[in-house]
Amino acid sequence: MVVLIVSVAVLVVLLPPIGQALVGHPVSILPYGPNYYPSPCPTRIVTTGNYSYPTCTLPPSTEHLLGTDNLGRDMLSRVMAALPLDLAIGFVVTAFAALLGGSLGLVAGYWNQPRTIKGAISVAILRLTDIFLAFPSLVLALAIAATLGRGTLPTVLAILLTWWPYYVRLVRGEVLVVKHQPYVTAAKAAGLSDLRILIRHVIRNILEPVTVYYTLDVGTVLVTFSTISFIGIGVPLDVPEWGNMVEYYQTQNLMGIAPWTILAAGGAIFVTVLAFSLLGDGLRDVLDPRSRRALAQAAVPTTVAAPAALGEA
Amino acid sequence: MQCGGGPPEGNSVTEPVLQVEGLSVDYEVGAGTFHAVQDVSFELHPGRVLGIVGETGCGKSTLAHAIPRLLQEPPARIRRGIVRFRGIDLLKLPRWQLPRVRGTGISMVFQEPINSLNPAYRIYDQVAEAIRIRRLRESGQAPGLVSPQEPFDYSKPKMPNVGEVLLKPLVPSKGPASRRPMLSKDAQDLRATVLEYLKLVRINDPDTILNLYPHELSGGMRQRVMIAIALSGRPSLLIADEPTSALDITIQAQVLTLMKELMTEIRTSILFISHDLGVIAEMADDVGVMYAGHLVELGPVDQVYRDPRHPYTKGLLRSAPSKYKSEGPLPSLPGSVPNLSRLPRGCPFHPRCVLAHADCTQDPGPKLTKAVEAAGPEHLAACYYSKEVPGIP
Amino acid sequence: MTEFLVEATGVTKHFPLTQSLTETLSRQERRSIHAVDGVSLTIGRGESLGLIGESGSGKTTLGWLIARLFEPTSGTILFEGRDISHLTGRELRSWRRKVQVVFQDPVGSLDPRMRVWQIVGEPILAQEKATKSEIRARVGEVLPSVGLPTGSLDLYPHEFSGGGRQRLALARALILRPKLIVLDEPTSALDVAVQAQVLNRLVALQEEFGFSYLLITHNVAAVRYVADRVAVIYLGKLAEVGPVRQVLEHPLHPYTKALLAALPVPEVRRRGARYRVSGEVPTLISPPPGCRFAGRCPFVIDRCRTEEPLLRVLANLPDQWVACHRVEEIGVIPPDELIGEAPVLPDRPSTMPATPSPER
Repeated sequence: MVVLIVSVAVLVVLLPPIGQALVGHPVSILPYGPNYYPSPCPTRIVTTGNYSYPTCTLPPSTEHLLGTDNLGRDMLSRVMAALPLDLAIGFVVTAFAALLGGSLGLVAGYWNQPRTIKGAISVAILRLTDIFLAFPSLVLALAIAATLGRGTLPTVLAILLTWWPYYVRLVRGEVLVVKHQPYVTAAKAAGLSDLRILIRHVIRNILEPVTVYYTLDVGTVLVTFSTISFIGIGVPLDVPEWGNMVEYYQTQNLMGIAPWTILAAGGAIFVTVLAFSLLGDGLRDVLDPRSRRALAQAAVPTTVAAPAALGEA
Repeated sequence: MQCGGGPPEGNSVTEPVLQVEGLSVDYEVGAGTFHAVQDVSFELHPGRVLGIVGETGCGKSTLAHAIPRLLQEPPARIRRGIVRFRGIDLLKLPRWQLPRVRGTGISMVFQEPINSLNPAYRIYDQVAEAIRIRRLRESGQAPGLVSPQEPFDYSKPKMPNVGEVLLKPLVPSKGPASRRPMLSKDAQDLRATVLEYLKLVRINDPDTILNLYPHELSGGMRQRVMIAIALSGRPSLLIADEPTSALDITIQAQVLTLMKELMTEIRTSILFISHDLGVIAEMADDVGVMYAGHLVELGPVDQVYRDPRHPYTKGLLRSAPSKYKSEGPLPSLPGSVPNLSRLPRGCPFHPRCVLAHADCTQDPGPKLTKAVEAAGPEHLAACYYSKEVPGIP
Repeated sequence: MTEFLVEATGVTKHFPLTQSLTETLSRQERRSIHAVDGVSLTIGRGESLGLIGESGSGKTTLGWLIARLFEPTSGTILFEGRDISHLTGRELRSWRRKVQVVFQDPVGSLDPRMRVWQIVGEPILAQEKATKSEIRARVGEVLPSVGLPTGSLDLYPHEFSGGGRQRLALARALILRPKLIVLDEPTSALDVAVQAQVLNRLVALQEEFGFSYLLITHNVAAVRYVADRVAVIYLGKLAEVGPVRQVLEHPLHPYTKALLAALPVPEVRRRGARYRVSGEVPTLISPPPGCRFAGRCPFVIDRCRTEEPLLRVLANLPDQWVACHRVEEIGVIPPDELIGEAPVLPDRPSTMPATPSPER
């Protein structure tokens, strides 16, 4: 049930950028682009204290569903426009981190015979992972991004370098479990070489937990990316991205007079991350027959007959 | 139903400790509804041992867990039935009163002692906990069912209103019993009692064992500790669910011998569940054979083993390997245990039965009826053709 | 032409335990688990050897050693005359087609994410170059021999019952027509009725294909039915070896007697039985000198605790080997002596309501 709701939510969120990718130019629900603003922009008067001045920020209305910002740009279009970048970052960066960390984790998990070269490599990987893990991820990402300078690519690199260790730990743990399963011993007894066992059995069996973790991680990476932009280090201002939108509006002190600007951008982050969180949870419940069956079987003190009684007589 | 044929020690008629009537338990899992226990009825009298035997999946474990209501109610569901323990219907009891019946009323020993013992506590703490609970209940400071005051003599008339005991302590207390501080004299006394129970289960060096954790003991020792804990509550009924199946053969023989000796000293009634016909033969007075959730045969163990009156029992006895058997291919029952969510109509055994006739496929299936026309304890079998069973090779 | 299929001599396997820092510093000898110590046995072509023991006896370790799933710490294992004790790499992997293993856990030994044809066909993939359709064809041929329908090629293991999974494991073991199949507790996870089916099938397959079996189990009746010879192992050492009927009916070693006496028999005359062998199984870590069974043996003398008995034959029984100092005196004592009878139990009438005897 949860999965259903979540998939619908994610679909709705994903629709515009898919449409944009298909059509080739920005598509928005209303005929405003993300950087378009009429000049001069329609204004309204705000009063703070004794002082009143005109501002282009318009509250949400039928014409501008999420209002406008201080330059008169339509908030909804801006938020939608940032969606492809943020989503792509979320998916792609996490995927790279997963691949890098996962490969290292495979090696570390599979080659852990003590007192051999392979074992030494594994230990080296693990120690390197420990070093990286010792830093709080956000702080490390910020530090790297700051060093590398402003821009999308440096930020991406920063996150990559920060994120891979978690996958090493995850994958290594799963590999260790699978390695000792009887079916791996059986494959060895049949004469399969280590490499083939790795490909045939190990990878197939660790894919599930890694996928679930990955889905949950996309949300976290997204938040980190937005945070880096928010701090002012990440994506440059002319690229629409939720994090730097929040930052910009905050420096313009719009919270008092036009809170919808900040809330729209921040809210978009929140909704997307929540969607991925729920998706990951739902995936885990659905995909992992072990946890489901184990929970169900723990409640039953006896064996419930298999659905197909194949194999007798 | 009365227990005739020579009541124990010449006492008058006794009430059964456990009366199960028409108990049916289902499991509602995503794949369907599994009828784990169907319409099972039997009685257990004080001081007797009833063995329930059957293959994997026949419902005996579910039955064992259903009686003290240890099943997780979803996905399990007790569809109907009466389980009367010393006159109280356990199925109608409100859930919060159930723990007061367990431990000192009904006690259980499970298959894997490593799972039933708490790995974070030493043996002393675990045995002492059981003893303390019993003492609190016996002195009336905590509500709970205890065995009648003269230990293990069930011939006395019933306690005054058993049901009330579960609701409130007999003695007005000054506060929750568990919070009262334990005096050092009480602690010494408790330790002595713990040692006494450990010696009862023939543990050679109880002082050392007290300080160990469960994982530091061997399987046989752990099971003895489990038995000690179960008995220290002085229950009226002990349910043993495959207590020796996880043990090595020689250790199993030791533990069974221990249980047999305990049975002569402490006449708790025992409901003994096992898949091993030999173990049941050694331990039980009466035996019930289960198949696909149904109780198909019930009677004194020597009679059922010598003269089985249900085709399934006969098939089971024949395929049970014994070192005194002769050569040739091992006889085996054709077919397999049916899927509990798609039981056949009528008798659940008819697809595999050599005696199957047309009426065996009609709903409702055969019920337990008297199979042997002779004086003496009843021998029941759920088969329309039980008279022809002795003729099967 | 070599005489035996498998010839193991003095096989020992010690698993070293991790040492604490203080132990290393004080130069103490590294402690280890003596899983198997100096075991010598043979398996002939087409012969079935049963290996009986309880948990911790080393039977599984010995079986895995013969299947070369690890290397012996010392000793040699000859297979068809060739020393396989220290094979590695490609040589080892190609030798594997001659020895296959059926593991204890029918659920765990089949990859839950692979289909039947992939699981049963895996040995082909490991040893030969074959296309997918070739593998499927060969798997389809072998499935009926274990009593599974040919159409189950694309099913998953969880769609089978325990007995069915065990048959899949068996099919996987015999698809390459090995010379020896090591079966590790093939019946433990199964019900009595299903056990009988599996054992019948094992015997039938042996008649058809001429495999040798190494049947590792604690199920004495299974050994009696399937095996030609039996070896009894206790704490890493062989106690007794001989023809199965002889050893099971006239066991010479006290442990064999103890084991046979402990078997529960579905006969009611055992109600008063009291098992007389006491004691727990001692640890395998740095075992004490002398006979391994000395701590629990009802016939123990001082010599048993200091001097280790060697496997030897008695003059009148040239094919039965026993490792016991006192076998001449106590060999003839039957196992039933180890089951003492208790004083008669007070009569415990049935819990069943009785029919009153009819009036005359």
